[in-house]
Amino acid sequence: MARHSVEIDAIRKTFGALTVLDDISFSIEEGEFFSLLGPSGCGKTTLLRLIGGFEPATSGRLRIDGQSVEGLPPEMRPTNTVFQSYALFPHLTVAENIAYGLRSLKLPKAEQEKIVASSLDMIRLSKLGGRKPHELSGGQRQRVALARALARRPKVLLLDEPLSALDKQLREEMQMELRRIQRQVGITFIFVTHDQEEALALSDRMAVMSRGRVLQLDTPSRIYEAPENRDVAAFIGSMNFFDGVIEAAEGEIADVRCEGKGLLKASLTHARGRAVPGSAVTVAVRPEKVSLGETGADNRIAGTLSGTAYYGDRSHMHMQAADGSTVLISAPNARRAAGGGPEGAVVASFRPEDAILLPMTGNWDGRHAA
Amino acid sequence: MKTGGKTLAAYSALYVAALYAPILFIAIFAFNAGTTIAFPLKGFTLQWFSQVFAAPALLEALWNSVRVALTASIVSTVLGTLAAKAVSRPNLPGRAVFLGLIGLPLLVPGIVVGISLLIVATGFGLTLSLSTIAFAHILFCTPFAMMIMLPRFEGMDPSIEEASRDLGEGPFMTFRRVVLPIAAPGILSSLMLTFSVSLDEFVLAFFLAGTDSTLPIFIWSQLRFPNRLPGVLALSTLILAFSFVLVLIAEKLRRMGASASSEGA
Repeated sequence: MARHSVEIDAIRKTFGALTVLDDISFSIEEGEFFSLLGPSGCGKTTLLRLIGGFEPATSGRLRIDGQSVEGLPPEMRPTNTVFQSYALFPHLTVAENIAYGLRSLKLPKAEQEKIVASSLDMIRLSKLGGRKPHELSGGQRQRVALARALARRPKVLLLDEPLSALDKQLREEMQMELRRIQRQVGITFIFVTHDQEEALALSDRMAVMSRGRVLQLDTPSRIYEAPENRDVAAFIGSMNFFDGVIEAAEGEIADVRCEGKGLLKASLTHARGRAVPGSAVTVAVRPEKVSLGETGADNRIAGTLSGTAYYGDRSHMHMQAADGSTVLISAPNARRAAGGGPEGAVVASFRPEDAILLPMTGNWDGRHAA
Repeated sequence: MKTGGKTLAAYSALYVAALYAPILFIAIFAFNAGTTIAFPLKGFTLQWFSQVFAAPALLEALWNSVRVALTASIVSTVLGTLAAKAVSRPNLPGRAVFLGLIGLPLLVPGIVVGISLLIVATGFGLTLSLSTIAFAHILFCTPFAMMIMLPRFEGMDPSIEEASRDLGEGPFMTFRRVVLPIAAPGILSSLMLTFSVSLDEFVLAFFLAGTDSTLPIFIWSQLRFPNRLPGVLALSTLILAFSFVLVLIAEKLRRMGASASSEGA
């Protein structure tokens, strides 16, 4: 495994009586694209500012590239930051902005010019080096901020919601661009975002945060397909939760009695040994893994269709189960058809291995989420 | 609505006339060939202007005023800029109290400030001179400087300074390479405005002058001699024109800088 790039050890941060970061510990590998994802106020930006040296931690240890950075101001750290507001210097040109951080490195003039030229080339703005920031579009400013931060070849690049000010189309373009540049330079990226799709699309690994704690740290696909607790499952994408009590747990499959939905079968992969008959659990299943109609899958819930939302590429359907609760079903519109879907009494079905068995609160290993 | 608009326009015109007509009369009579300040005008002349520059006492007073104004504008702009930078931090303890207190000298009658400064100066055994006037003008001008600089710093994205630190510059170089250049138009504007305020200031200078006189004091002393009145009017016209141009440039600079800093953020 690669060397640790950033080691966060028992970090706490409080502002007065408010605890913003509550005993955070994890490591980020060298060259990794790592995302901190969470709703606003979860502490992700504070954690980033701690790593960048803009705020001191209340307690705990922080190592960057193997060195303790305790007490070091931002200018002494091997990190650089892309700010949410870009924070370009309004009185300097694009080229001067990129060259700003090179002065303190004491590189020869020719070397500096080479770095500025290759940076402009990297962000495909070679012709705009003489422009002032206010003469650029939002996407161009964003790229200049990125080039300026990368010009010093930091060990770690910190990005604070850099795409949040861009419109949807430009944002997707910049996501691709960011990934390309990160592969090209091979620097560790720590990316703060509240946009889950962005985090899923970009990250090698990501930490889902809530109220100052890390709920789960994993690869994007495991975060989505195997959330460890209800909070992560609910925060990422949409999820159906069916509360019930385990009747039997044998082999790979648990039988869960759910009010209004009958007996549901769910995979025991993560809960083995902990989910015993009699314990209260939640069966969680993604809407796109639920099918409308008989599919031969073991889990079947009968109900009536109460609403459909058409999104073009897919449709979302709401089905009312016998107990009045709603089952969300997402189906791709893979074939061309106009109007008229199913109506009235229907059956929703899904496979046991597509269902996730979760404890009512916290994780199966006994850790309690926020 | 329409008649209301007309009334308002008429009122505005009347107000502006009342404000500027007396000043206009000064300029008119400065070019009048007669020695008495009365209509009808006797014809056009520039003799009063040439007389102004022929009086050594006047030139000395002018030179005194320029020296005091230069000192006062530079020192008060430095102090005002630093104070504004400190106060622009929104979480500074005691910020509201400080902001209230710094503006107070602008509202306290000049005569009160003049008397209190005179008491302090004599209490400390200071000789009244241009230095005491300069000191009083620094006190008087610093709030102006701060009021000009504060919006510039408050409008600055706080991340800009963090970005400079992040890019390897310490607090001093960050101030030099980022804060100062962005604040430069404001600083220039503050220098001009405080210079003009100090140049025109009479009450404080009058209390603290000792034997040296500044231009406003000189003008005041000339008013006792009716035959010198046209010369005073000519001088006043020149000061007026100079102050007007200075304030105009300062205001232009202030707006220019303000728009550049907000666009870039």
